[in-house]
Amino acid sequence: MSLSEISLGNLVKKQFFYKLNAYTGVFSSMVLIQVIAIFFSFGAVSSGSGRFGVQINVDYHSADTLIIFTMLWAFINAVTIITKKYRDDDFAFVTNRVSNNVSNMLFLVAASFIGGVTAILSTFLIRVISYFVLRDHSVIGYDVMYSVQEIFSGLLVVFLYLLLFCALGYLAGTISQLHKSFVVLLPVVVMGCLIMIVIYGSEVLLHVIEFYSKETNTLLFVGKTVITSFLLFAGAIILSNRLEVRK
Amino acid sequence: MKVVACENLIKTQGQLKTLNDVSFSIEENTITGLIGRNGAGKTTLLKILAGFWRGTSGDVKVFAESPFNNLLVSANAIYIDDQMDFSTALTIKEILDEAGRFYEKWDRDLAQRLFDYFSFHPKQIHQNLSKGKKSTFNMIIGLASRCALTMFDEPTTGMDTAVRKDFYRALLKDYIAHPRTIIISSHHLEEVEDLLEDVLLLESGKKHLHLPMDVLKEYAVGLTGRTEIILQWTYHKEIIYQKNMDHGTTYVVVKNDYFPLEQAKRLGIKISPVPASDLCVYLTNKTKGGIDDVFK
Repeated sequence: MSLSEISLGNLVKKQFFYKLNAYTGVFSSMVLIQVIAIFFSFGAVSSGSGRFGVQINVDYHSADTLIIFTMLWAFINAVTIITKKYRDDDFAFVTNRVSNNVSNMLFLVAASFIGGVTAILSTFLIRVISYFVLRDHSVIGYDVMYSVQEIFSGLLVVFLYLLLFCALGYLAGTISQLHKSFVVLLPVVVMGCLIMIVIYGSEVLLHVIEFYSKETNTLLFVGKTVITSFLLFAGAIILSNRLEVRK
Repeated sequence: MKVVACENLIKTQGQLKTLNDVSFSIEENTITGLIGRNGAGKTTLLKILAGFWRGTSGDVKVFAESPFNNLLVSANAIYIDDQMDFSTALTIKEILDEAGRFYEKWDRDLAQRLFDYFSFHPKQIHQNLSKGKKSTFNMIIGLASRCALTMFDEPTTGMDTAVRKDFYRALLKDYIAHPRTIIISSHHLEEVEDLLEDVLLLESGKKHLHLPMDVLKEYAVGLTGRTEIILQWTYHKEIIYQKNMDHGTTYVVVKNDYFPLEQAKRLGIKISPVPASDLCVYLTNKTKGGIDDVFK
């Protein structure tokens, strides 16, 4: 009897490409979410003030909505690909828990990257639409220029934030797969903790957010987000290594 | 070489022991029928062998390795049932192509020919297939993957008679051309008995017997005769099954060990062979009289 030997690396590669093929739903939901976000961006914050017969209206066309929506997508997307349905699909072919998790992780990295690119490009789309539809000529002009470097650093930041949310979602998804009750317990505990933090006026949460969002050194920022994401993924892998599949 | 070896395997699900102290081994290149009533533990056993589930205690070895979370086992063992789920984003043709990339011994040609023979449309989605068509498609994956250990769990669910016959024939032909270890679980022993070399009978999570098919066919005899004679004759014997017929006659099934058959014939007892499929039903009945006992 000759047995097929397959190396982990080779298998992860196969699974990664399989997932890019099979998880197309992830990307169609991304397009949908970003289109909605672009739409919402036009209901942008508007403030006006008038004095001495002069009325000044300032409209903010911000890409924040878009980025936040995409982060939400990243989180939900990571929770989704660890659900039973997706896991059962994966276990139809050759796999073990580690290879499945690693290929999921790589898939999420790829998805974050694609999500980041489209999010950054969408910010330009918002400008173009403002220019042509809203006749807002101030958004495109000589003084509104971006250097290539700025665009790429923007992309890097969005990509890493998305990755962080993917990793968070992946861990949350994995925990909720361990036992049915966790599906309810996990959000309750998280919400409970948040409420406690607010009630006691603790600034822990604020510090945590600032730890990631207020970092101005690019290298440190990359280090912080990559290491955190990696730790979250590693936690998920360790937890799911004993998970039974295909009930 | 032993492909599967189980020793004192126990699997507890909630309070219930779905597998209770099961020990057996399966040799290389054999076709074994895993027979048992509903809830006997067939699926549980197969899922443990496939590495999906973990045994609660006891020792399981597939290709001499523990199957749970094992890459070697996953690459060389395939478990086919009607619950198989495939991505809804892929057409069934694409699923076959993907399967081909994962299984080293995949026979693309065979898969394509079976695909055409059972008239699948390449653009169909697995989820939208009918029950019988799903089973047929899953069977194609099971056959074409040529895994050293191929497990079919109730493979013919929903298939019509013609497809069922085709499936068994395809399985046998492919097995002869490419010998491998196959385990089929089925309710319909009469359909697969010509195919099987061994039978593993499970009852309520316990191994009831594990015998070659030829031995199983000779395992018991059926005796028909006047009730009083039959009862007298089988007084100290272990009765596997008993059924009261019309006109004071009784049919019993007893184990075929050194039974004085010639003498019995002279007393007017009719002796008949017991088909293996009936025997398995009798052996796993909770009561000697079957459903009749409920309506007594």
